[in-house]
Amino acid sequence: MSGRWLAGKVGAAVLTLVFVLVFNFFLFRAVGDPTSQLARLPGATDEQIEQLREDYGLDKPLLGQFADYVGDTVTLDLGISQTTREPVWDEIVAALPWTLLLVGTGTLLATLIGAWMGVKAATHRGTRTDDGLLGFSLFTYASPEYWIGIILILVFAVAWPIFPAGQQVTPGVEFASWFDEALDVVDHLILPMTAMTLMLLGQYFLIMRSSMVDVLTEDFITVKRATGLSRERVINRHAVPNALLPLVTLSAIQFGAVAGGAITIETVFSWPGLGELSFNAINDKDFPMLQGTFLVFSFGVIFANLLADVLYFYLDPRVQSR
Amino acid sequence: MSPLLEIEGLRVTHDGKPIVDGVDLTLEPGEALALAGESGCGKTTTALATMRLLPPSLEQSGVITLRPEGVAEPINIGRRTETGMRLVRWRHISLVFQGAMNSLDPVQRVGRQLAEAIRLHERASSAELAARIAELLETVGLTAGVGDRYPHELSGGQRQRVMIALALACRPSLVIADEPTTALDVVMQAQVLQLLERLREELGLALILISHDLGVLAETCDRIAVMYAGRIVEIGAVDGVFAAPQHPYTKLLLDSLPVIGDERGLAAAIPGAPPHPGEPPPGCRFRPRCPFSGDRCDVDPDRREVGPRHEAACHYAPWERWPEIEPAAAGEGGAA
Repeated sequence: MSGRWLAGKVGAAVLTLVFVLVFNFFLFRAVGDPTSQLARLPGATDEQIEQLREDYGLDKPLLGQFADYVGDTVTLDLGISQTTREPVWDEIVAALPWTLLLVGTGTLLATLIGAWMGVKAATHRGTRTDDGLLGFSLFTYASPEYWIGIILILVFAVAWPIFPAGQQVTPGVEFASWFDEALDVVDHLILPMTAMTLMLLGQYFLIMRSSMVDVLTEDFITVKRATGLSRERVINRHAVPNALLPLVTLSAIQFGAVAGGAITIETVFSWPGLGELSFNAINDKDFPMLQGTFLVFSFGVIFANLLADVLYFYLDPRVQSR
Repeated sequence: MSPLLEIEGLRVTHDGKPIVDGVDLTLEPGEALALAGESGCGKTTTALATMRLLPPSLEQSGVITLRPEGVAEPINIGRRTETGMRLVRWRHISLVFQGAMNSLDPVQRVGRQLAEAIRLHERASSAELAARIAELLETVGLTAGVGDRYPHELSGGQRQRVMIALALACRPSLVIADEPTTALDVVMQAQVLQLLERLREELGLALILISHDLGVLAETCDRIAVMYAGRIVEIGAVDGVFAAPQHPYTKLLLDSLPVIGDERGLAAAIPGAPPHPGEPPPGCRFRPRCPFSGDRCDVDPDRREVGPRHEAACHYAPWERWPEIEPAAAGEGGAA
C-alpha cells in the first residue's frame, strides 16, 4: 500500500521532470538563433558561423537536436560554458554544495526559529509578545533579502568588522587542518545564512502561528488539559506536533524554490553557489550554463516536493491510510 | 450522606459580564444529573468551571466542593492551585466531549493517549499499563487491538467509546459528558447511552449529562436541571419535571418535543431568542418570551422549593394548571 503510494509520487515527479526537459530545450530555442550569441566577434564570416553551427550540431533538424539534447542530459553532459570553457556539469557540481550549505542551514534555522516564535505568539495571543513577534516578522518578510544582506554587511563587516563581507573561505590561505578550514567556512557562512534565515523567517512564523492558533481551539486540547496534563505539556506534546505539519511541508517545498531564489543573497555575498553561477551566466549570455542551472533548479523543486510528500507521509498518520 | 459535588453561587464572567450567573447545584454519589437548555445558556461553561478548565479570559467565582469516596478532606476546587487541580482532574472528575469531533489527538495512537492519562495519576509498569488499556477498551465494547489504531481509523461510535474508556481510565467518581451523542447517528446514540448507563451502574459513577436533547436526558438521568441565560431555572427529578414542569421555560421546551403518533406538523417553537446572560432583561429573564408572565415578573424571581425536591425560579409556581395559549398569542406575548 505505502509502496504503491510512493511509486505513484515518484512517477509523478519523473513525469514532471520529462516535461521540464522538453520545456527547457524549446525555451532556449525560442530565444533566437543560438549562433548569433555564439559569434561574438562582429566580423565573423558566414563560413565561421556555419562551422559553429556544425560544431554545436545546430545544422541538424530540430527533432535531431532534441534527441541529442536528451541523450547528452541523461549522460550528464550539459555542454561547455561559453565563458569559462569548462564543462557546465563540472561547474554546477562545484557550486551545488555551497548552495546546499547556505540554503540548508538557512532553511533549517528559519524553520526552527519560525516554529518557536509561532508557538510563543500563538500561546501569548493578543499580548505584547505576540504583537512584537508579528511586527518583527512582518518587517523581515517585507524587507528585500538583498537589502537585508547589504545592511548585515554594513553593520557586521564594515562598521563592526567581526565577520567577512563575502566569499566562502579566506582566499590564499593554507589551512593546517580540515577543521580550521571548516571554521573559516562557518565564519564566512554566518552573514549570508542570517540573511537567508531572515528572508524565510517571517513566512514560516506566520504559518506556524496560525496553524498553532487553529490547533489550540480543538477539543482534544481541552481534553488533554482535563486529563491533568500541564499547559506546557499539552502544548509541547500535542499542539506542536499537530501544528508543525503545514510548516514542515512548506519548508520542504520551499527548499527547492529557495535554492534557485538564493541568487540575490549569493550575489550580495559573492557566495560561489548556483545562484551566483546563473547570475554570471545571465550577464555573460552563457546559454549552456543557464540551461544547465535551470535544469538543476527545476530538479531541486521537483525533488523537494517529493521530499515534502514523503515527510508528510511519516508525520501525519492520516495520509498513510489514504 | 453528603453530596459528591456541591456548586454554590457559581459565576463566570467575561470582562465583567456574566456568562454563568449564580448556579447552585448538588450531586449525590452515583447520581445522574441532566443539564438541559438552549445553546449559549452556560451548560458547557458550568461543566468546564467544575474542572477549572475555562480559558484565562473568563473569570470564575463561587464555591465548588468535591467529596470523592476515600478522600478524607473535601476538595475545594476554587481554592486549589493549578498544580493541585492537575491532581484532581481525571482522577476524580473526567470529561467526555462530542464523539466525532476531535476529542483525541489525531497524530497519536489511541493506546498511547490512554497510557498518558493513566501514567499522570498512577505508577504502573508497562505490562500493567498494557493490561489496563486492554481491559478499558474491552469494558467499552472494543477489542484491545484498537489501542494500536489512530483516531481517524475509527468510526464515530468507536471514537466515542475510546473517549469513554479514556474518561474511565483513572476510575473517577464523576464523569461530565458534554453532548456525548450529538455527532452520532441514532443507532450509535442509543449504544453509547446504554454504555454510559451500564458503566454508571457497574462502577457507581456519578454523571452530569449535558444535552439539548430532552429525550436523551429523560432516558438516562435521575434528575434534570434546566438552564436559561446563565441560571438554573428549574431542577428536580426527571419524572416529576417531565410530568409537571413548574417553570414556563421548561413547559415550553417540553411542548416543543414532537410526539410520536400525534398529528403531523412542526413542533411548537419558543418564540424569540434567549438573551445573552451578560445583558439580561430587567426582572425575570424569561419574561420577554414568556406567554404566562404577569405583574410580579418585574422582579427577578429566586429559585425556591415548589414541590418535594423540586425547585423552580418562577413567581407563579407551583402551577396548578397551565393556561391555554395559541402559538400566535405566544409570539405577541414575546413582543409585549
